[in-house]
Amino acid sequence: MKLHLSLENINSKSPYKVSITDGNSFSFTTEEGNEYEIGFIKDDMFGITDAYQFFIVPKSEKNTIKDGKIQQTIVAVIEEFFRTKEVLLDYICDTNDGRQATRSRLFSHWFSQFPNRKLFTLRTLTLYYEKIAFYASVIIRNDNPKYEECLSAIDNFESEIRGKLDETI
Amino acid sequence: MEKKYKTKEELIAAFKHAVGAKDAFESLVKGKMSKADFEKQGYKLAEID
Repeated sequence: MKLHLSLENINSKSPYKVSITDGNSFSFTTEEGNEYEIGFIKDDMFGITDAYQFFIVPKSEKNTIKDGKIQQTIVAVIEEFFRTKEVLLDYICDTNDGRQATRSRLFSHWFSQFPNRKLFTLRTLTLYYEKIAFYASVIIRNDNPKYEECLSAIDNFESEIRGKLDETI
Repeated sequence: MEKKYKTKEELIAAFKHAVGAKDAFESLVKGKMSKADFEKQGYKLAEID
């Protein structure tokens, strides 16, 4: 499935100018000169056809001061992503520096400020594997035609993998 | 629609693959991995228009 995302819509709401990179991801540069890339990767983990994992990666970071416009830019992209009601978004918090719990809380905070958040469902999953806590968040539109099927697939995946991962601890 | 994993290994491999996507994407963005290698690892970026 091709995602039909309008740059015009994104840029009408985003404080930073967003561009498409090679037809596969988005990028923007902050006032401080930091460059970020936003990508959506097809995610088959839950067995849901239109599930995408979301990423934001700094391409170059010259300065790391707090910048609220980054959040607004990301929200503009995600809001446009959800113009299509059939899609599902998941986000697995990076565990490389041990700050995944903070990232998970931040993501939930972002979601709480998401426009029309009552039109969406957020599911959070915490899984432990090889003594590392993994936090994942899943967002789905409440009017997704496969809403119940998707939630059932997520719940089943979670209970199935929790049982299997527990065996590995 | 729901995916049935036949074995524990298959299920854990799917989880690890999803967890590894961020590092793969970062390597791709920073030019440390080619798009061909990224796709060889089973990752596929959404097509945007």
